[in-house]
Amino acid sequence: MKKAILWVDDKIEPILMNVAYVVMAGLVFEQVVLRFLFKTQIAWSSGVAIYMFIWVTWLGAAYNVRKRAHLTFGEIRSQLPYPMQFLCLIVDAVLWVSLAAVVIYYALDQIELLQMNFAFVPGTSNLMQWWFYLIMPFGWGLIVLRALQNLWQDVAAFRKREPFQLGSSAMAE
Amino acid sequence: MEGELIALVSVSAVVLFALGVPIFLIIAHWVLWTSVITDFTLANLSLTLFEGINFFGLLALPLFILTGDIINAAGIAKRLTDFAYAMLGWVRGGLGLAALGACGMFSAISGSNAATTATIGSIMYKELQDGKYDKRFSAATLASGGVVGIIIPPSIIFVIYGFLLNLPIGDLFMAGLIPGALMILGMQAICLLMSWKFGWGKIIPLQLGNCVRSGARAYLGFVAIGIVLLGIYGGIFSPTEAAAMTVVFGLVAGTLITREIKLRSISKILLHSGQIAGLLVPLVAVSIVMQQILSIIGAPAFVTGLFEGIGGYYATLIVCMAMILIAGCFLESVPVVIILAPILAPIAYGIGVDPVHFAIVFVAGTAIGFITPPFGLNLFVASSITGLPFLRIVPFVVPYFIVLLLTWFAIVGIPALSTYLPSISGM
Repeated sequence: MKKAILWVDDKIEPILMNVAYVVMAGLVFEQVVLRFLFKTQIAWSSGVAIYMFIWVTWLGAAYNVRKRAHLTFGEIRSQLPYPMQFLCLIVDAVLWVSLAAVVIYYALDQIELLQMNFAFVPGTSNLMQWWFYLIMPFGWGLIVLRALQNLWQDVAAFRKREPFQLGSSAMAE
Repeated sequence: MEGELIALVSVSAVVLFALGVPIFLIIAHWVLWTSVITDFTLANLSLTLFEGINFFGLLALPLFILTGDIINAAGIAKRLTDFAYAMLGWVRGGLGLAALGACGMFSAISGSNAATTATIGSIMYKELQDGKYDKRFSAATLASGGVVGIIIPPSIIFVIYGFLLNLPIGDLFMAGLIPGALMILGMQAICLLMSWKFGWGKIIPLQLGNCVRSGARAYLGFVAIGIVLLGIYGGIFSPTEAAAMTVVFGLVAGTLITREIKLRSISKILLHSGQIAGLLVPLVAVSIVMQQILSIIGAPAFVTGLFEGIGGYYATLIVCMAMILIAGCFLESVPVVIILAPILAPIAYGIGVDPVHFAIVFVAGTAIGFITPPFGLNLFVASSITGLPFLRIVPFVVPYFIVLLLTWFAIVGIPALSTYLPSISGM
């Protein structure tokens, strides 16, 4: 059981991002092919492709929190005294969690609204819009989880007086 | 009272930036607290983070990011650099010229500055070392070469600019071609002069056979460039569609022709692209909310008012350019475009600047910001590839910076450099 949880913890964003990315690219490609070869198109494909793009976006945002890879100006922080660095890391976590709380609260309102209105994805009569909107509470929930996990690591490092992981930009890989 | 509180929030944002808090987080909190102060609904923030990016044209962004990663993994970027070296190796400083040329070619497939520096940099840096180039100069060359990533089409910044200001993205792509090529030529001239002066690099004889052979090996790269340029230029594909085509093409070429992409590595490539999308798109989304709040508190009207006293075509443009450049020193290009473009573009239109021309002026300015401290993303990327501290690279970037500025002035002064190609394309 513990192994399963650790596996999910490790793989959840990568797997979902992979799936969403493939579906997104596949749908756009399918549109071009259908247009050229059969002079036709599927009504819902661009709508779903866009939703998959939004999924990739917020899953990617959570993944970057976890990897401490969001764009920052890190030159000063890396020179600060150790306790100040710890303080900065706590500030990061507080800012992520408080922002996420606002985003999730209003996203749930929006989902309820879409649900009550039976809002369908344009061009379909069975794909509900709110299913796709779930990425907001889900992705931002992951952001909270990752921010707290980072803070946990930082507190552990602080207790042992070990250097902090201050992160680097993913662009640089 | 409201004004003072907003000023306080803004000052705090600057302090948090200096302390290394993620830029996305700072903008989002600025929006959050300014909304609270002005009594604007917070639901808007949450909603816009979803609905603000609910737009088909933006799909070009993740798809072109993926294209760049796939072309690199397929070994096609390496073949393009080999070709560039075969063509230019006989000149003093040829390897540096080839690195810049390869940046230009890779930019015609990929749409990002940092990715261009990262890709060509990791291929070329070791070879530049073997060629006895100064380490700091090599890093500066690779950082500067990447600047054309968002000028030469495709370009993720043009996608965002077109999305925000309602301009045809295909037109912007075409308009960037000549200015981007000029930037590369200008930087090659600098590289040539520096290598000459310091005697860097070893010279290989020009062999026609070698040129033809490496050119033939790089044909897949040329096909990819063709899909993007001719596909969009000829009106066959929208930019988003062209991006999907190059993704599929790169995947087929990489798995079946060059065989450098193994099926198992595809998920890693997708994860990397997703991570980059997860950096940039949230910034787009949150900057859209920021722009809304700015217009609620009357910032655009305030800036327009400032411009009224200036008057004059060139005076206004020069102030715009200064603002773009200064903002580009401190911020990533995505927030610079999203915050400043909607404010400055109407002012520029007002004095009679062509919208497409101004787009190129704007994006070229933010592109130069990639090599200006304190926040120059390409400098960070070059520093992480080479292991050199960021501040040691900066002095060697100066000559490139000057030539890029000169090119920028030419782009501003000669509108036809930007507007000629879109005016004759088939869109």
